[in-house]
Amino acid sequence: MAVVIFFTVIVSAYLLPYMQANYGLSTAQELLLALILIIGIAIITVGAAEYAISYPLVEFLSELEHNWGKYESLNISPSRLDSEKSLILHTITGITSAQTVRIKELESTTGNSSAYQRLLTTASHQLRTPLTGLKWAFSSINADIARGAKPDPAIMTGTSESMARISNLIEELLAGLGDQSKPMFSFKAVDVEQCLDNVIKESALLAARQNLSVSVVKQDALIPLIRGKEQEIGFVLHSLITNALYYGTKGSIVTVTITHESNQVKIAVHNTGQAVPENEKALIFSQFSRSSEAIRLNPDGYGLALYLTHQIIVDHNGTISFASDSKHGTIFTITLPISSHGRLETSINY
Amino acid sequence: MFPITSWSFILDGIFLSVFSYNRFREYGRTSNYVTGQYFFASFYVSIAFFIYGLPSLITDDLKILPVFAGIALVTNAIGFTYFFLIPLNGWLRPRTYILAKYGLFLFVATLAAVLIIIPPMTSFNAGIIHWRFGPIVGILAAIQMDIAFMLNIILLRTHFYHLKQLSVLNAILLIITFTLAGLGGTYQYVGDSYPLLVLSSISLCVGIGAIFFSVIRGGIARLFNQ
Repeated sequence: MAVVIFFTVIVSAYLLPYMQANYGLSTAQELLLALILIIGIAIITVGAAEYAISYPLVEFLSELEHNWGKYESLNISPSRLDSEKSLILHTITGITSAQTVRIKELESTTGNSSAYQRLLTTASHQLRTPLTGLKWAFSSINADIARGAKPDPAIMTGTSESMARISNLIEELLAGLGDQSKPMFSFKAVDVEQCLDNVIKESALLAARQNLSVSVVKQDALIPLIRGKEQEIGFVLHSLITNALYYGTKGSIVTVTITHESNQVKIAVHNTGQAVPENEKALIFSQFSRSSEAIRLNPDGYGLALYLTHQIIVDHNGTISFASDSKHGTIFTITLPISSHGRLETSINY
Repeated sequence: MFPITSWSFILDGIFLSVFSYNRFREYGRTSNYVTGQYFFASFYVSIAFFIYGLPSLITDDLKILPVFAGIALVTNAIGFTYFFLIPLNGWLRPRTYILAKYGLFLFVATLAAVLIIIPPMTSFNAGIIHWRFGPIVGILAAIQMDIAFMLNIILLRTHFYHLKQLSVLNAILLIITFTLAGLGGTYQYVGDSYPLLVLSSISLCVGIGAIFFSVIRGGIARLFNQ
């Protein structure tokens, strides 16, 4: 404000009389010119304040928020019972020691790169679903043959699609590992609908084995492109959908809702079935953490998929949340920011 | 005499208002930054069209018309600043973008100052308005508009292969709008020949009509899809 007043005084005292003397301006022109000059000075002042003060502050806050999201917090209320506190402590000690052992195992086989660890886990998870599907499909085909019946054509198609998927994944991995100068996955515009379509195709055999179906509800005519690493987004969708298939009630439907809100795409995966126990909810995104129900239904898991899903979503500046109870089932909701392609496309799709 | 320029500018204003209203509604729903910029840009330019066109229907006083022409040019320049900022938002670093944004608004203030010192000599000739802005103002305003439109065309071209559904057609129609409005608008700012002013008015009208058509077409397509 002081700067604006200072320049106004200078302009009225020196510049306007000079303009009047040299350009023969009328009083109205002089007044308008003074007004424009004040507006100009105000623009410079506000611009300088935004550049030097407000933007760095906003940037700092968003960085803080982003980093904060990377670390999980566990609220322990002082009013909890002593027995409960010791149980929590016991759980934390157990998780920490299991985590240390796992990290040491991974480090000894892959070096100490966490990126490599993520790549390896992502790839092995993506390979697991088609392989599990294939295992089930072959046993189903064998049973059909033993009965003297013709194998189900849908299963045969699923089998060849799973084979193709495994072959593609291995080729992608080999190509990525061959050229280690480039990052394996890079940020670009990603079509989530396409990713979702691929994941649903990949999970078809698993869905058939679990006697579940997947339904996609698209709430907007246009789902804009998001900014992300295609492979990792595929992994996130894959882990949420396969989890819903593993733990959903037989004969029910897994619903994937995709919608476009504000500057983000929102995806929700819902299944009915056993709820996550209340005392295990806080640890659901922790490394090597598996709920007792999950261990009972699918003993083969490592407790890495949801941990990695959470990490990937945070790295993409998105959010992940879940709600689970025995009445409504379990719903995982993720949001991912729209890319510049997506923003432009949404704005010209009228 | 039938004021051709006035009516064509009012028609342009109506076309652009429809687009602007459409973007306003969508911005309220999605808070998409680019949609917001398109709304502000088209809002200011449509207001400018009305300020250009309406006064000459009411009066032919050559002391009043240049005042409105000046106000319209500044309003137009504010609108083009928003068009300018759409591609810059994606291309520049956030902090550099702040400099560009305030720099462009400062440019508009400079344009207004020059306009006050050298006012336009607007006149009527057989239904066509000769705006006759001073050479500095005309050239500066034309350069700002043309660069803004060129950058928008480059932006649409860059994203073209990622577009789907209605967006591809809308992108083509927007490119047509930017090209024809750029050509027509530039001549209105700097030119003075009667037949070319008529042609530039038609070019502006067809260009802005393209964007209006895309809005209407999108609305009809959605109606049938529902």
